[in-house]
Amino acid sequence: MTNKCDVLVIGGGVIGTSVAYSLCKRNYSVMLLERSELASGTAGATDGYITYHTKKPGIHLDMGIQSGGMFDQLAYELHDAAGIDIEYEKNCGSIQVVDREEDYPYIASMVKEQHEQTRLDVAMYSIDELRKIEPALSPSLIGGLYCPTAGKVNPMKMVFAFAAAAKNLTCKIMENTEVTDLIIQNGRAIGVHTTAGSYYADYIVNAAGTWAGNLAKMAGLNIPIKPRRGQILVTETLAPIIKTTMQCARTTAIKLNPKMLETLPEKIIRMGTGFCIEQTADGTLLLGFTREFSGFDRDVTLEAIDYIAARAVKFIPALEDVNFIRSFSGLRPYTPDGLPVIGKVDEIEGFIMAAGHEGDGICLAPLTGEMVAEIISDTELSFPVENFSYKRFA
Amino acid sequence: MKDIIICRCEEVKLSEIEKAIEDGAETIDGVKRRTRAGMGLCQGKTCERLIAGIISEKTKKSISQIIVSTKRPPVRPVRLSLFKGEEDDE
Ligand SMILES: Cc1cc2nc3c(=O)[nH]c(=O)nc-3n(C[C@H](O)[C@H](O)[C@H](O)COP(=O)(O)OP(=O)(O)OC[C@H]3O[C@@H](n4cnc5c(N)ncnc54)[C@H](O)[C@@H]3O)c2cc1C
Ligand code: FES
Repeated sequence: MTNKCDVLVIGGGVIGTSVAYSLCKRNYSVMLLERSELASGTAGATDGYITYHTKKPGIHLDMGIQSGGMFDQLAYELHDAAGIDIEYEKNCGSIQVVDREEDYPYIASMVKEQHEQTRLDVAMYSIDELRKIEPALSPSLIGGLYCPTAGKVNPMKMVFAFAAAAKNLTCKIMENTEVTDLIIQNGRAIGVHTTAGSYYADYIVNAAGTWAGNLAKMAGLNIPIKPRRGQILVTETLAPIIKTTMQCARTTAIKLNPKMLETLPEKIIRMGTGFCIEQTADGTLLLGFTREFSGFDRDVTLEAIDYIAARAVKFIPALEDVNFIRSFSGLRPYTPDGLPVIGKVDEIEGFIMAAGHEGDGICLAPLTGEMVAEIISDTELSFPVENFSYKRFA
Repeated sequence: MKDIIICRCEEVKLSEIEKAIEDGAETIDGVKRRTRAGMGLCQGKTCERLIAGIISEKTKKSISQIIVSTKRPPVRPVRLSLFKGEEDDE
């Protein structure tokens, strides 16, 4: 087997496989190196929201809208190329539910800004109006924002579909292959050492998600990506009970008014909890979430289960009699400003970053893959990359 | 061999498990992520050993290398209403 190719992609998550697929469509020979198995990282322990209103107006929201708009075509393409249905549900809609009066003004003003600054179809609704869309919501809630154009997808299927489509073109997928060091010669990254031999390429893409900071260190760079854990409970299979993806508005209200934190119990601040719920194509409900800084630990904690379960029943009373059967946690690749790190690295030629998508990696994966392929092929960029430089943290 | 159902909860057939292994799955988690086998109500209590056996046969790996799934709560299904949550949610 040859150990040389055009591009080495490090990381078999949704970003790495998307990058590999975009490159293969342009005829590059690619090797994708994954230390464990495909989707064993964060992309295998996540929700599948494709939402816009959760992103800050400006580049974040613009990127979300553009990447989200690619799913329609992508779902067809991947089904064709890999025979895998990524369970993309266009326009399933998304709701951010307000359960505390004090959160309402913040959400309402954000909605106004989003609506005025973009073409985004988003507005505030009363709880009675929301219950016409989602009858399962508790009448005791206050109201919230509704964005009818939001979608959802099965992230794990996305990873396997990107990988299979890339493999059918010009990609070799190497699992159980951990990159242990970069090979740098005269300021240029020319290859990597791994637990399964050394590989060489013209370009090396760091798509190692939460762990991308460790790989950047091998290149002598300090890129502040760190793990932010999210815990999720999975219920037994149910008949369709909700069709939108939902979240509570508290996390957003706190983001917009951090002072609010002072009024919340310590436990809740530490867990960074909010609430979210999504029904998958299989009928299970995914209940979340936490946003915690607890290192690389992927345990599920009893205090989080307690919190999430109780909040689920508060928002959707019919869940009272429902069983939860499984739990998992994933590590969002957090960056200080919530934006990913994408693009070339000045210090080391041939080394390209594509990581740090925090809570938006599923939604932003299609566009990220294209941008990296455009950078490598030196063609016109579909989205400006300047804002995603690691230099902003210097 | 007949295409028997290996995971009863999720109705996953032997051929689907074999296809997942051909696609690169070498662990219980790898098969689970591709097929949903083991994700059902019993959480793999019924099918996990069977799946491990199939992987072992195809890949010549030992069972201990194959069953590496971390066990997370709950041990058996638990009703959501059993949890009380935070005081601020009263
Ligand atoms: C609870 C939760 C809910 C979320 N909900 C959503 C949502 O609804 N919508 C959304 O858009 N996003 C959501 N996200 C965020 C999204 O899941 C992530 O942004 C995304 O999965 C990151 O993908 P990735 O490919 O960058 O990382 P990963 O999937 O973690 O991939 C990185 C891979 O690199 C591998 N790796 C690491 N080091 C090495 C090495 N040295 N050598 C080789 N391989 C290596 C890892 O094993 C891993 O497989 C959520 C996240 C969590 C945790
Ligand atoms: S038989 Fe496979 S999960 Fe129950």
